[in-house]
Amino acid sequence: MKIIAVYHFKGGVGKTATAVNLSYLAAQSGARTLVCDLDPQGSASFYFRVKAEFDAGAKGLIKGGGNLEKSLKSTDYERLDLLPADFSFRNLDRKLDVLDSPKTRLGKVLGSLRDEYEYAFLDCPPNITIVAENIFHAADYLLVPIIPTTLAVRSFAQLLLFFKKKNYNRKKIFAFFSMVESRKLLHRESMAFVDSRFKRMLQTRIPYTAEIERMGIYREPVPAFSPHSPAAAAYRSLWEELEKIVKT
Amino acid sequence: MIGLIHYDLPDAFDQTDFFAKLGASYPLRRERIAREQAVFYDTFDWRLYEKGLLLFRRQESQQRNDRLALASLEDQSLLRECEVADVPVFAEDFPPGELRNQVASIIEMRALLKLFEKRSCLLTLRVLDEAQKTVAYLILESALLSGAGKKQHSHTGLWLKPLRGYEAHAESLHNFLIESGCQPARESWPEIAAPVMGRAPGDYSTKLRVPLNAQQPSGEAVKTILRFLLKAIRANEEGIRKDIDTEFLHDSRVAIRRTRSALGQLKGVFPEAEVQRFRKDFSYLGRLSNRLRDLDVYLLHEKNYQNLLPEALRGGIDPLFDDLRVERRKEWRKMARALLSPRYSQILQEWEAFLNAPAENSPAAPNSGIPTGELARERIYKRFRAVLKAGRGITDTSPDSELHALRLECKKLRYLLEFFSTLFPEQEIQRLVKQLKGLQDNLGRLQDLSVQQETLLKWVDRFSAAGDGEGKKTVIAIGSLVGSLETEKRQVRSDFSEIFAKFASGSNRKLFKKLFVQPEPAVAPSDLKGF
Repeated sequence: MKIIAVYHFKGGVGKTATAVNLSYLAAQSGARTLVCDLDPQGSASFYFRVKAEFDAGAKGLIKGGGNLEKSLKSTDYERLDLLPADFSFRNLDRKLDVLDSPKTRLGKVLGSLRDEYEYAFLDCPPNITIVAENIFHAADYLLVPIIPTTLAVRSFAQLLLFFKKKNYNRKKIFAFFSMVESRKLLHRESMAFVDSRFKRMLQTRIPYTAEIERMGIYREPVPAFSPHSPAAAAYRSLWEELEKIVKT
Repeated sequence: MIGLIHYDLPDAFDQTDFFAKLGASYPLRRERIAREQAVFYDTFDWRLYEKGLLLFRRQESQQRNDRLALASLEDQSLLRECEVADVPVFAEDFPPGELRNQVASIIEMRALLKLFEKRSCLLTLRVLDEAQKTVAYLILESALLSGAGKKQHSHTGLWLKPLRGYEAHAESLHNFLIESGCQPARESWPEIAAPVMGRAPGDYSTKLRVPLNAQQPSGEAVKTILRFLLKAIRANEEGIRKDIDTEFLHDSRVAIRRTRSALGQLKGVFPEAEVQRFRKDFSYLGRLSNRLRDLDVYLLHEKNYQNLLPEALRGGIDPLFDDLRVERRKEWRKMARALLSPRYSQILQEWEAFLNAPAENSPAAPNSGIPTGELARERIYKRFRAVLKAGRGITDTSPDSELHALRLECKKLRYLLEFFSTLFPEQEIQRLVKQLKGLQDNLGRLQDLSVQQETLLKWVDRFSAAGDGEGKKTVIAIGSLVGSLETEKRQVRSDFSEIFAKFASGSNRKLFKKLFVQPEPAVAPSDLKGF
């Protein structure tokens, strides 16, 4: 199982949309796929119409995974399951803190599902805390959406710096541009700036479109409710790029 | 993964009425009707079916590529799936991956045969919750099954597909279906398709399990065993003639060998003159394919031979195997012709007539009337002692010929145990067979290695005579192989004493005695009064 964490410590950069659409496309391509909603707000669960359940999931995650399987929910799409958000994730940080090896716990627990799924996508909460450190340890790939604005580029640089400082493997980090408005000069300049400095930049750019925002109304992945839209095409191309990376 | 539950519909099933009732209890969404076409495969001896597996290649209306799927027989839950371009025949024709690995470990060298085809019309209903989230699927499948012939069979069934995390909904639907007169299906697809296949799943197996009665006269019981073997010989003819895979011939040869062994070991059950005649006939039948089987074995192990060679020499034995392939083709043609020859069919016809005639109680067959249980115990125990005797004389320096003799004794014992297995407790017989098999594997491997060495050395003459550069390379390759085989042979030979000791252990001897030696009738105190 390859674990792909969609991460950024900045909120509102399109993490959930990315995790939902990519996991959907991965499942469509024939791979058994899991999407883990680690964000206490439960947006990924909402998109898949799965009601959040109190406590079950997080308990499993913390105590060692015994209950994890019971918390899994089939989505409406073949081969795609969801580990729903749980409001107790709000306390996850605190709970992880008191356990032994708190930083590797998430990886160990997800490991129990190793044979069941080919891919696990983690929709991560926006912070740098112990949950995030668990994610860094567990994930094989860290997929970072960057909005091509000065501030967002700056926070991406901070993320790279943080990895360096903590001595984490920076080669896990892959990034792509999200919510791109290519008619804006600033966006174009920011993209050129990052492209010239960061090697593991995916070529696909996800445009800023109303279609992606409509996911909240349809409560479905974009390629499911609007398969011919430019947004769906962009996510497909992003998945194709990512698939090549994670398959090798 | 959660599997599907298959239901048979009630006799008076009314679709409109059923959906109306269902819709009144559960929010539903009806999907577009889908068509699906699937072709099902298994080996001649039902290896996948016996393992509870279903292998099929399917084409769905939306998807472009065919997919090959391995599913559980019971609930159709998908275990592995991959895309395929061509129809797979052997495991090596599958695209590399987990599906291939799993199938290969089960079917080994056997070919996959097309069993039947299923064309389905699928009407899918999504059962929803208040957030319009799907909590289960109900699928009404109308299938048309067809086999190689013109025969067709239609079957309509209902599937409930539970979803992970929504088990309570599935249970409620299950109860609804049962209340509506649906029944959990009794048959899986291969069973439903039996009429169009012209054969029933599991109808052929190499396992010898002949139902016998310990009290019935031996003449009758032995004929039952032999009829079972004749059926196996006949069942494999077509596969040999069509050269589908090597195991048709192998199975047929095993049945012939078992027949010969029965004739040789169960003396006095039939008149000796007839036994002699049929033994000759079956010896002829066995000889027909000796060479062909040898060649099959070489070719089956081609990869192993390659792997034994140092890389630089790997190409060296290619000419050899090319020659073997040519020779095999010739031998197979000869065999295919022999199967259609008057002599072959006459032998089997006369044999069949003999087996179908009632067992006669002639003085020429003194053992024909004794109870089968008695015959079985007596022969098995005698043979067991012969094995012990032959084995105990073998030391680390004994010549190969003594091990060879022991191997033959073991084979005879094995056949006897298998012929009469149903007369004895299954678990205990299995334990004995397992022990014996361990010993046989050791002896068999030793024999194989010796024969292979001899054969390879014979080939040297052929290639050194050629005299050119390629010929030399081949000769060196052969030399290297003979060396590798020798190393293995020594290892196998040194394992022997420990394996035999296990077989001859006290507990094993005790078990043989318990099963096959009739206890002496206990002496009642009243019998002692005369003294």
